[in-house]
Amino acid sequence: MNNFIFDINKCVGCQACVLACSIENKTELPVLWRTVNTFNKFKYSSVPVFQHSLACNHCEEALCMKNCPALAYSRNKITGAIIHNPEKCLGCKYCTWACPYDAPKFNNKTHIIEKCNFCNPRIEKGLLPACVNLCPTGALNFETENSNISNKSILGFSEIGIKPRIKIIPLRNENPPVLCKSEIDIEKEKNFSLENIISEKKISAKKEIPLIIFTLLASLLTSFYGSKVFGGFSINITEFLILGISGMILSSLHLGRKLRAYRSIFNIKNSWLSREIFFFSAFIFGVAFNEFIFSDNKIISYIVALTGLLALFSIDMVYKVAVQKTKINVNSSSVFLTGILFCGILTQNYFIYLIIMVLKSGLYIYKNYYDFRNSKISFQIILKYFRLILLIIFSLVMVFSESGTLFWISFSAILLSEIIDRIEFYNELQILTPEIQMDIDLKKNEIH
Amino acid sequence: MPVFSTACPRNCYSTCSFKVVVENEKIINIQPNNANKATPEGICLKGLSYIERANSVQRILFPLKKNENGKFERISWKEAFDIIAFKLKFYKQNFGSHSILFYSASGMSGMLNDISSNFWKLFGGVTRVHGNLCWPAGLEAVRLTLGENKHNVPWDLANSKLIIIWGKNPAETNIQQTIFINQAQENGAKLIVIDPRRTQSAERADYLLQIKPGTDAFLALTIANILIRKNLYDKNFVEKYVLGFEEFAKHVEKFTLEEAEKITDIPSKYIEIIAEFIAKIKPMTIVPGYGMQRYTNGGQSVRAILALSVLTGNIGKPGACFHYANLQSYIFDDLKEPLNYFPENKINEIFKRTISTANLGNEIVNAKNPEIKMLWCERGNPVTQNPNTNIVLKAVRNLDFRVVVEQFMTDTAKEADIILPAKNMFEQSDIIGSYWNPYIQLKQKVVEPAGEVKPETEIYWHLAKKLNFNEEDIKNYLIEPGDFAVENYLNKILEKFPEITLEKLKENPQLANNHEEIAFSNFVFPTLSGKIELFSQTAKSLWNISELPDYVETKENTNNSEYKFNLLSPNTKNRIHSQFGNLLMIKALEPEPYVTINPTDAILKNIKQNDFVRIFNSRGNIVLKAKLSFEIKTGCISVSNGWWNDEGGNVNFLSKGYETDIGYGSAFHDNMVDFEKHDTKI
Repeated sequence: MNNFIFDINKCVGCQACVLACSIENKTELPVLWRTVNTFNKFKYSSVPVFQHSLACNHCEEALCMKNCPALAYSRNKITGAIIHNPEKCLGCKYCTWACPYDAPKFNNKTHIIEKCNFCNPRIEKGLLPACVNLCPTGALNFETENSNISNKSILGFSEIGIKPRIKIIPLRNENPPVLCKSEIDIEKEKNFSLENIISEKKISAKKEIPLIIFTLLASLLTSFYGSKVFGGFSINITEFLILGISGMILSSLHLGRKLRAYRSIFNIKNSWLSREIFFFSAFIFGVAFNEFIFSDNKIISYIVALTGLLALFSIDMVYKVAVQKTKINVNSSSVFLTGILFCGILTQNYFIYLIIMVLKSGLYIYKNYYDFRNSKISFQIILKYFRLILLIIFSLVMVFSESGTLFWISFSAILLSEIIDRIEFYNELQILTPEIQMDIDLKKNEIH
Repeated sequence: MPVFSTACPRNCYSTCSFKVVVENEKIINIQPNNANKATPEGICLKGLSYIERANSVQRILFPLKKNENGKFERISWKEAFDIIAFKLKFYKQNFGSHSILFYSASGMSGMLNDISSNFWKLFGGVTRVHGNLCWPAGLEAVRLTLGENKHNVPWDLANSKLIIIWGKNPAETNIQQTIFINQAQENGAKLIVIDPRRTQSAERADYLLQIKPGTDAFLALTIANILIRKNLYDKNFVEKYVLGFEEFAKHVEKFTLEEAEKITDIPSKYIEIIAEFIAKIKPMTIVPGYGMQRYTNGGQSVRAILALSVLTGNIGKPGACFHYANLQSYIFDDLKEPLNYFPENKINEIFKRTISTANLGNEIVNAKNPEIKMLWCERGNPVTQNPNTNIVLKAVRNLDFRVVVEQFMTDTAKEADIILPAKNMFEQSDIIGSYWNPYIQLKQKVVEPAGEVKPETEIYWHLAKKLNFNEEDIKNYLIEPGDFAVENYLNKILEKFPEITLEKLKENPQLANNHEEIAFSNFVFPTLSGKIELFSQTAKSLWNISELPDYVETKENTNNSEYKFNLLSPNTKNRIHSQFGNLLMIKALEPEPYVTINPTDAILKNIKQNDFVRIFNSRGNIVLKAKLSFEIKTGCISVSNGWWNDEGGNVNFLSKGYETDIGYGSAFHDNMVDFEKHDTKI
């Protein structure tokens, strides 16, 4: 199997590889498939500066391929190249979240993904990939035999066990040059923290408002239906279906190619995104079928409710491609938990919603432990307390108000609290990119 | 698809060989050519961007004339020639032919460039520029000391055990050199970098000395002092080959460690360490750059640094040389750089006057008898690249008539009355040398000129006809249109060198005749004394500087300027001066100019990352974004040169245009500025 070799010692960050790639593959500028990232961009004295030139690493366990809901990726069995097939791509960008090497690039003009194909047409002919062929210092190379690759010790390179087909040759000398500066200059430099240098994130609440609405809507719809099944309060079927279908439309709004939306359930076998879409659609259509064809059959309604829960579970799983902020793998804003919380509230099952409330508050305090302890008063911190207090107080108030105004005030307050957490969740979502991996490793390096 | 061998004719060390793939009269891809041992892996990103540059929609493809509204409109070649011929005659008759300024720079190298001078000679002589914007101070320093500018072949650097990169950033400006630096390091060589910036080239170094700009000579002479005092110099070598050691030894006594620390900002313990390295590790190659000599004391700095190679006997041996400029491939020139920059060598009976390129603006304005009325500009972009843009612009705008031969709408082209579309490197064959590698190369014609483009040789031929030059002269000194005449001309040049033929050059680069892999290995030094001259009488008689390498303060520095920051305007990997920056490929990598500021300086002026900053001094000001980085020494800021005016980053609005101490260079970096936070872009 083929792989890239990249020698950090020889790379000077000249970016000829980036243009070589663009020329060979005729990318539409400014779209570039290959990127040269710099470790220690601010050139802190105590840390070396070096580059990684990366495009697609054609991983043996390619996360783009595994997570693509539309089966748009394939592997060339002979060359090992992971190929993106544009005619199958929805433009959902989920692969850009899944890949830690930032290889899939979204093209704003074609509205779909494109990426490095290992110069497959060239390597099939026995030629080198363009980037390798034209690297003016010989830093990039290419190997055809299977070699034992481990990049564990490479600073700034994400090694998450997906077997990228690149062998990185580490620095001969891991130390930066001795900077012959005076003690005063070195002291001055220490006053600057690394806090302000985190690179731009891929996901933020502002960019993902439709997703925030969709995920909360899904949990509300599931809870309404669950409540209906278990005899609690609910909305009528027309309202339900209008909201449900709006949700489906909303979730397809961000697709680059909306007409290909049907392809999004092609990868139920591997992709949580496919599962999410499948279960959510099944849930909404299940409700409609059960109502209009089976006249609200009890057993079917249990199954449909379960489908709703599976949709919520899938939604939570979709976000697992992000870097986890905490060790516990459940986030307080989990829509699965939110669904159960509201179901408990609507069926007025104190036991259930108080347990979920305690669980959610606990998780929330846990994930914000550092902020609660250390931060000075700021808008963000007040909002965090607000979220927590709303959830706890109104869950307790709820116990004493089975219906009427106070119930709905409490319901709204808890919903608001959940919305706050959901927004925070999107703002905290950290998708691994080479740049961010470098930031993370730089911070670690600085601490040592 | 046909594939042609060619070479890059830009003003760059590397002068890469490469191959172009042509399809339907278009350059569609580029491949490396490993026949050139100095550039075996391929060309840099700028070379790759030829794919865009050659076919760019921005190219000027027709003669253009500025109308009354200041807009350019397309005209025919006939109309262009008519207008230009009329003007040429008019100025010659009324003011004399020297009222016309012929300005050319380093935009494209090649033997055919001589045709321009031939034309102007036949015309009766015009005013020309002397000096050079780039490297003459160092060239002259080496010439004074070693007699000639040459060094070991690029790949010999791999044999060094100690490499000192002094004021050069090969990782950006001579990328292929890093191959040999890396090889040397693989073999255990030590690398020291001396530069106010922590450049990419410094990243693999053992030591980086972030020296105060303009104080290089002091550092070098202090180290020389240590070597001599501690008896760590090569006595044998000095006795045999060096003139003026006694005087030098006495002279450097006053360069003490304590003073050096104060002046250069390098803690003395490190100076001692470096001196120890230089004394003990052999062979040593010093790789001085051109940045460090763009000061008013630049020539003396290079002489002082070169003295370290001389004292330690690191000349004329494998792995040991002073790697400044290697003119061994300039086999066709009678007069080599820097001598051909000197006015005394440019002025003759026909070309009676030259003006200084360093001080171009003022010299155009102040020229008398005759005043300068018309500019002909080719292969250059003086509005952004010559010092003191405001004055250059004023001077150019004051002229009556301007002709600019250009491929793109540069800042200089915008000032023109007539723009003539210039050929690119793929549209006419020519022979080029290199100032780094020892190859003679052919950049061959691989496509027909785009649009109505005519190579300069054709432009001059047509003009000569129009002006009724003597037919015999036209035949002897100019080249008639067509590839056949060009090849004839090149063949004639090659006649003296039967080993090198056009046919061979079409295949691959050819090593220059009699080039020395190891320069000066015969220890013959073509100086007055025949020895290496640490003590040079020519230095005194020709330039009125000390016979010995000395430290002289720069004209502008912290002590005597009201502006407290050194502005450095280095070159970047993304451009050759003002070339390439207009291409989408380059813009995709670096979309806008920025100034690099040390965070500890920025905080004092309340400047944060990406804030707009106004940089100013008495000459002018520019506004651009701040990029904070510990890369730059405190007290210095840096903006790469070559940004176009409408991009907002043209550093020459701030530069002064002093001449260097020797060689008629331009002291761009002798440039003090201040800066402040600015609310918005201008």
